[in-house]
Parts: sequence; structure tokens; C-alpha cells
Amino acid sequence: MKPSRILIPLLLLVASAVRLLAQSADTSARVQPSPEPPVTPGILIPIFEDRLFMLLVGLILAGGMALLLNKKRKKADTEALRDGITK
Amino acid sequence: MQQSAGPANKPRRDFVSMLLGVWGVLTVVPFLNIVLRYVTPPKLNVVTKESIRVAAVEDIPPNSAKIVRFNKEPIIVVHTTSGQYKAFFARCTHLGCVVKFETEGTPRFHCNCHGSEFDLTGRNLSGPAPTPLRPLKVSVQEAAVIVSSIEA
Amino acid sequence: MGSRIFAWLDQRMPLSSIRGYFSKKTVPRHRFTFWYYFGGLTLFFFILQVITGILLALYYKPTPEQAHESIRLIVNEVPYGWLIRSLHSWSANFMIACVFIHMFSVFLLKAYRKPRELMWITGVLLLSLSLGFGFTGYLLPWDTMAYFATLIGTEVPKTLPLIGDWGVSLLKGEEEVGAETLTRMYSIHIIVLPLITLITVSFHLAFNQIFGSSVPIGTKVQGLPIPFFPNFMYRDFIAWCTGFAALICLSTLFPLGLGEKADPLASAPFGIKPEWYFLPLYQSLKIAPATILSISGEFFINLLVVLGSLMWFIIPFVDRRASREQRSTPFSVLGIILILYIVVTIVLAYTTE
Repeated sequence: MKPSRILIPLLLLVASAVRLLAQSADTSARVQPSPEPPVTPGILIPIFEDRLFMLLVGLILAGGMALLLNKKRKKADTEALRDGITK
Repeated sequence: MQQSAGPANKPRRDFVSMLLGVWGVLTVVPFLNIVLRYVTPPKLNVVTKESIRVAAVEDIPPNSAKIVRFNKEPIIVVHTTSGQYKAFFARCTHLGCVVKFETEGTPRFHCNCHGSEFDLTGRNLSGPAPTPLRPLKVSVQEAAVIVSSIEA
Repeated sequence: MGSRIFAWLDQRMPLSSIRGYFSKKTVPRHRFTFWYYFGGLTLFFFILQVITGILLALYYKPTPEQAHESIRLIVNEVPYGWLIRSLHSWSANFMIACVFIHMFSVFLLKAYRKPRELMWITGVLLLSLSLGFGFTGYLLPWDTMAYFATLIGTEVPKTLPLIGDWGVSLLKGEEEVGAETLTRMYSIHIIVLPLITLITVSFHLAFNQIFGSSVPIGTKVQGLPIPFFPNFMYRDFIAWCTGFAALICLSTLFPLGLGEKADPLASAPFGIKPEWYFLPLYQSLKIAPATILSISGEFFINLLVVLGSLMWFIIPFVDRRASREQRSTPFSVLGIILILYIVVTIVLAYTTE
């Protein structure tokens, strides 16, 4: 059984889980606008925890992407080095 | 440079490439989630008024009408020849065009878009309009015409 | 599967030859190769600006009555609106910072020399467009800072002879900064500048593809060059991930607020200053003496800036020694002095009142 056959559905499952998590941490539900339509009530920035969550999601996604790209880069570099003379 | 061969001999799939593809999907999903949530129009708190003062009595002479907004909806307030005030939501029940008060001939409401006509009780008389105009409660208080929603 | 899609398209478009052409590009390897990343980073942040900008444009309303409220709506009511807005504002700063770093590194590495003169000219044009984006975008929230920064910003060019008054009237749209100004700034910001930028970037990138990156005069090349596709491209993308990581840090930890709605009749607030990328000009005007060589100090500075900018465009043709592949230290010194001047004026502007 090819490992990719388990891995791909598993990772897609993880992706959905992350999405559900992101949805449940939806900041717009937590930020309560005032009941009467105000003239200019000011800016309601989401609480620190929500912003931190967003930051962590962003860092994990960007960091993971960077790590994987680095792996690809190393592989491409060794290949290029191997073919280096002919390139 | 290694080119992937045709269907005849597929090279073994590179694990890292596959992982990268999956991670790409993982990244795109929250991004799409954010964008789709963002572009969906948010439900805004709209304060609804129960009644409004349309105009002073003398601003709506007999056999004329006035169109104003009532909680963002256009309404038409009519002063009939018999001295009564009537009010309806002004959107034609066909496709939503705002009707006008027609005084040539029998006083009635006419919709310019497709020719629907309503009598002064709101009942749809002719044209493609399927249902009558929804009425509103009208009263006169302190020489002003007040309109309120029926439920109030 | 990707190769099957490629094969299908290749039978209908000359993809193989296009890929063959791109696959030849290489990036020279030497001790300054690190600086090559900043061009791509600028492009990355620009792409982010386009995406977040389009999203903001779905809700923003460009009238003095509604602008401020529409921003409040975006931040308070629209899901993730606060994030999109913060990203847009921070990415603007990142993009302009990168464009300056990119320009000065190119300048010091003398990559503008023949045959890359047009790359330099399109590049300086892109820098100007970036500053234009920053200036026009700044007014849009219509809060106190934005309003008065624009008021001051549109007064400065008036001292220029001939075109000063007319140029300012083009920006302001009316006597006072008002509804006409907002409309003009907005349409310049979302239509005029993006179109010109798109065209210019295409040329800039095409030149980069054709000529590749230059090796600084007298710098030793370290081994064989890096193939752009895919080796340097992976490096580029890693740099973009790093840039994004920095951006998301600042956007979430220091989200952008909104000042009070602009009141044109109010007096200018204390300590008002433009965004950091205009501070060198602002600070220069502040410290300039009232008269220099019997002409107004302000006019002198403006003239210097205009003439300097024009000369900056044609630097490749002025620096003759570099075009002959010879060291030209005076220009390097000029570049370093400029960088120092910019840094010092920005620091001064923030630390003094």
C-alpha cells in the first residue's frame, strides 16, 4: 500500500480540522458591536488571544512552507551540483 | 534537467513534493476561509423604528401622495378625495419597482415598470402583480401624518 | 498529474520553449548575492497589496461623509476585516522599505550599468509609484492624521515653479482638501497607479529575465551560478515566507487603529508628521534655513529634490566609469551619504519636535 494513499486523506483531514479550528476562533463573533447604531464608537480590535491565534496560524503555515521549500531547494542544489559540470 | 516522462513510465512520486502540495492546500484553506467570510456581507444591527412622522397635514393635499422611507423601505402615503389617509409599502409586488399615485381617471396606484395597477385598498387590479400592496397604519396626530407598522 | 496537464497545454501553446527559455536564467553567486532577494520581496508585498486592496475596496466608500465609517465597518463588523486592513497597511510599509533597500543595494552594486540602464529607469519609476501609492492611500481613512498629512503634503509642491500650482490642483481637485480630493486620491490609488505599475513591473521583470543579475565590479564569483529555475526560485519563495512571517507578526500584534473622523475646521494636531518614507523630505524642509543663497529655503530644498530625483533617473548615463566596468568610488560614496542622510533625518524626525 503506497504511503501516499494514507497520507493524503490524513493530511486533508488535518486540513479540515485546522479549518474548523480557525472557524471556531472566528473573531467577528466575539467582537460585540454596540446595540444602537453609534455615530463613531471607535475601533474594536479583536482581543489579544484571537490575534495571537491568527499569528500562530500564520507562522506555522509560513514556517512549514519555508521548511518544505528548503528541503526542495537542497534536493535541487545537490542535483544541480551533480550535473554542475554539464549545466 | 529531469523531465517527468509520459504516462508510459511514471517516475516515483517525490515525497517532499507531495508534502509541499498538501501543505499548499493546508495554507490555501484558511486563506480561502478568510476571504470567503470577508466578502460575505455582514449582518448589521439596524434599529427599526415603529412609527414615523411623514409630513405636516398641509404637505399632503387631497388627491395626492407622498413617498418617504420607513426603516429603509419606500412607502407611499395617500390623502384620498374623501379625506382619508392611507399608507402602503410602495414596492410593486411584481418585481419591486416603486409605484406612483395615478390621479388621471380613478385614483389608483400604477407601476411604470410593467403596468400593474392597485386600488386604494392596495388590492392588485391588473397587470402582472400577484398580490396586493402591504398596508400600514396611518393616523393624524397634532396636525401631522403618522405612519406605523401594523404590528406596533 | 502536473506533467499530464503540462503536456496537454504544450500541444496547444509553446510551453516547452517558454520553459526552455526561462530555465536558462542563472543567478551569479558571490558575497553580495543575498541582496538579490529584495526585488522579489518587493514584488511579493505588492501582490499582497493588490489582494488586500481589492478586498478593502469591496467595503470602502470614498466620500468624506462615509469613508471613516466604512473603515469602522470593515474593522468592527466584517469578518477578518481588522486583519485585511492591518495587512494592507503594514505590507505597504514593508513594500516601501524593501523597494528602498532594493534600490540602494542595486545602486551600490552598480547593477544599473550598461546594458541594464532601462532596468534602473523602470526601477526608479516603480519607486516613485510606490511612494505615490503611499501618499494617495494615506488620505483614504479620512481621520485627523490622514487629513492634515494630506493638507501639508499638498502644500509642499506649490513652491515648484510653473508646474507647482497646477500639479497641486490636479491632486486636490478643489481649493481645500475635501470631497474632490478624496475622489481623486482614490481613483489614482486604485486605477491609475495600479495600471502604470503593472505595465512598468512587466518591463522591469522582462529586463531581469533577459539580462539576469549583474556581478558587482571587481567582485569574485564563487563557483558556478545558481540556476534560477528551480534553485533560486525556491530561495526566493523561502524569502517570501520569511517576509510573510514578519508581516503577520506586526499585523496581528500591532493592528492598525483609526483616529477621529477628520474635522477640516479643527486646528492641526500637535506633532503631526507624514509617514516615515516622507520624513527625509519633511525633516529637510524643517531644518532648512529661511533663505539659502538669497532664495527661499523651502524652494531651494524642493528644487534640490526635484533636480536630484531627475538626476537619479539617469544615473547609469552619468556614472560613465561604471559603464566601462571600472570602479567609480565617488558614486558609491554618494550612495552611502544618501542612505545615511535618510536614516538620520528619519531618526531626527521621530526624536525631535
